[in-house]
Amino acid sequence: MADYRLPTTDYRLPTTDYRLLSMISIAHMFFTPHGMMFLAMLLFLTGVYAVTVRRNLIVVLMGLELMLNAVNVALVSFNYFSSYESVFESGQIMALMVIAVAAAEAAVGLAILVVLMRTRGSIDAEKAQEMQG
Amino acid sequence: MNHDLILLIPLIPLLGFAINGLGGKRFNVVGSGLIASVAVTISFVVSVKAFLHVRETGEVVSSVFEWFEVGGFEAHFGFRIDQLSAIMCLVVTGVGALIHVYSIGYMDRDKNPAKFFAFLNLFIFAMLCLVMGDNLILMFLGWEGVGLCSYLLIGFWYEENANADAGKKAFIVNRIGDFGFLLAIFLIFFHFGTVNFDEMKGAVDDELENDGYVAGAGEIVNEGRVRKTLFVDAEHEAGRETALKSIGAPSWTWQRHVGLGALTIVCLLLFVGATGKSAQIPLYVWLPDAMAGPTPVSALIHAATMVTAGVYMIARLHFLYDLAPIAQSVVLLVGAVTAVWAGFIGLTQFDIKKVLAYSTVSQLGFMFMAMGAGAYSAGIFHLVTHAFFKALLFLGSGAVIYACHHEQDMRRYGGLGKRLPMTYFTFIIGALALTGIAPFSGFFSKDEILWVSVNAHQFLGAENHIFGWTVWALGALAAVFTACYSWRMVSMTFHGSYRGEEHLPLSHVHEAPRTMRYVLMILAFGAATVGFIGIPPFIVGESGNMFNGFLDPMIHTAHHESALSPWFFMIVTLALGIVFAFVVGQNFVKPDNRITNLATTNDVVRRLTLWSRAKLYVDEFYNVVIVQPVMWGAWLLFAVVDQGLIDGILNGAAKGTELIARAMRPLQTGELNYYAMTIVAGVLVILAFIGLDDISAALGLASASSEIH
Repeated sequence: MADYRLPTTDYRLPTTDYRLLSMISIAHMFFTPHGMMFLAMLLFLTGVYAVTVRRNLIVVLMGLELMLNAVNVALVSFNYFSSYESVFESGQIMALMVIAVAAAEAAVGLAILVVLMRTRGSIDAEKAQEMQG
Repeated sequence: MNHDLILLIPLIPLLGFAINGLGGKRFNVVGSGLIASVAVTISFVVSVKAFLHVRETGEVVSSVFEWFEVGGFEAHFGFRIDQLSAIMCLVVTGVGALIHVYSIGYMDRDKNPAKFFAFLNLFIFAMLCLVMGDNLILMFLGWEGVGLCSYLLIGFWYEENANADAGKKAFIVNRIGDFGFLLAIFLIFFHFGTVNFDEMKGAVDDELENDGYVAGAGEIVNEGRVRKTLFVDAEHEAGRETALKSIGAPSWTWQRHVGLGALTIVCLLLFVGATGKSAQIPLYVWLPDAMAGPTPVSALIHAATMVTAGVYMIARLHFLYDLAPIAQSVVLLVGAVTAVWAGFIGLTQFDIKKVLAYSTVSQLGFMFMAMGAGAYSAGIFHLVTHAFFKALLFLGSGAVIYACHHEQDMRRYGGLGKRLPMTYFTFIIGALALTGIAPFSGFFSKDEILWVSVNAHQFLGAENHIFGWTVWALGALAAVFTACYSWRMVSMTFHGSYRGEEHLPLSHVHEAPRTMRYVLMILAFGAATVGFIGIPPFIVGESGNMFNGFLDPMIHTAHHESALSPWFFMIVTLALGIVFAFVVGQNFVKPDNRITNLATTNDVVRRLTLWSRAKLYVDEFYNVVIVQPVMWGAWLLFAVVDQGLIDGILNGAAKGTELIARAMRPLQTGELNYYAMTIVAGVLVILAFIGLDDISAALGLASASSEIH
């Protein structure tokens, strides 16, 4: 049964959670256009590193996801900080679409990985380089 | 009579062509020969019916359906039988049917008779398109079609290179003439707006009626379309005339409707086409070589029908030639010179078919003389008689060649008259007709031509009384040559005693099969009697000349007046023919079987003989002046332009692509990470292109350029 009674109100001043406050304030420091771009760049470069350097194809796929999500961060934050009326939440909408595409891409990529694993017994990118000139 | 019935005339040979062509080797020589002969015979029967219809009613039978239409240009499959084409149809299908029957005997040892008869039937179809077409386009279709069949049949025994080369020569030389014909068609369409014979004639007649001469003002109105007139306007013409007269300029410069007008050029270009197809100077060289084909082909195509296409074309378009005196003079002169020229070469040839070939060229020259003199019906009359006696002579020579197992050299003949009595008898009749000895057919036609040529009193549009006599003298000389080579041929072949014993024993020489002999007899009857349809009017009166009377609605024969009585010319030509025929026929082969060798008698004669035997070095001349330069040009284009330049560009492009590809190959490593790195590097490069300034500005970072803004 649902409880319909009003909650008892505690009129005491809340105790200050400094740990939380410091985290929020640090986050708030980043919550500017520059900060968000920096964050996105950080994510993106991490993804680039994973894709270009790592041999394990799962990590490569993860790197791809990171790059896509870095773009999402940029889109969402641009939309948030934008003052133009014409923008009208298009950044968020775009981000949703990117998520959908990323999901599809992940599905295909993982399927390829499964097949690769079955046929070769390895998902090392170095083991699959017959397609060359 | 149902007008569409005349469509059967060309279509049934086409059907025969389809049956023999598709049936291929299923038929033997008798089967395929019968199919082809029956097809042409049906055509002949329908032609006779159409001819009788035209003769009784005088109306033109025509059947037209649309072929194609482009812009203002219409071409119809319009077939018509009028007086002129009725005669041509009778000749083509009549002589054609006989030659088909003859071929059954002649080709009995051939490997591929069905192909032969298919080509013959296709030829008949094309020739009938040529003569029955009511417009220039259909005529040109037939014109090209007969050329194609001629090529195919000359090279029928293509295993021997010489035969294939002769076919190619005929085709290429004819292309030169066809080019002139084609240009003439373009010009005619440009000026008349139509290529239909009736409409062209109507346009010319309108002009003549309105102005008295075609050079007048006004415009030819044709189906609502106004066309430019053929010549300059009348006032200008009149002013020019008085001005030129006052300074005493020669008459051809001021005479009306004379000058190098469009019509003259049209007629000259048409004549270029005629010289190609009808083997006149300068394009006659293919016809003697065309004798490489089977003898029935020589008889049908290269004597009786196809080579007369040029004559027929001029007769068909005579209303244009009547208005172009310069072109007429050219035709007359070229015809006369060709008659003498070819007759002279024919005097010394040893190949029996070559003699007949040069004789054909010579006789075609006679026909063109008539055309040039404006006596079109005389030319057509000679065409008809020539078709009979020349087909007879060719088939007779074919019978001799058949009897002697394809030996054509007359030096290995002799005394065959006793072995081949039937051939001998018919050959004599043919030779009498060719020589023009009364009352055989050639006499009437050749006499008429020589008589009308005296009356040619204009040379290049100017009054000139010597011209007629000159042409007559040339014609008489050609007639003398005719008598000489005909009877030399008869004498070498049939008189004396046999000279080819070491090549083929006389006992192996035997008369041709029955089909061939019957055909020879029918043709001999025709060659002997067909002349009576055209007895000169001064003997039997205007109504007595059936031929001119029949042609009159199409081609009106003008009355000729000459200073001397026509009897004079008739007796002179007849006497010349008889004397030379008798002298040569009696004395050419000596009683000791020695052939008269002119070369030993006299220096001038010897030189002339050598020139004649060398065919006046025309082939050598053409080889040096035309063939070799063309070959060099072709070699130059081949070696330098094609192989050097064009192939160089193409091969260079291929080689360059290959080199670039070879250089780029290592880039494709197959490593995934490497590719990803390349993508990143590419993005960085693009970013660098967009400009670091713009990037930093977009990021809000301070930079030099953003401060300026």
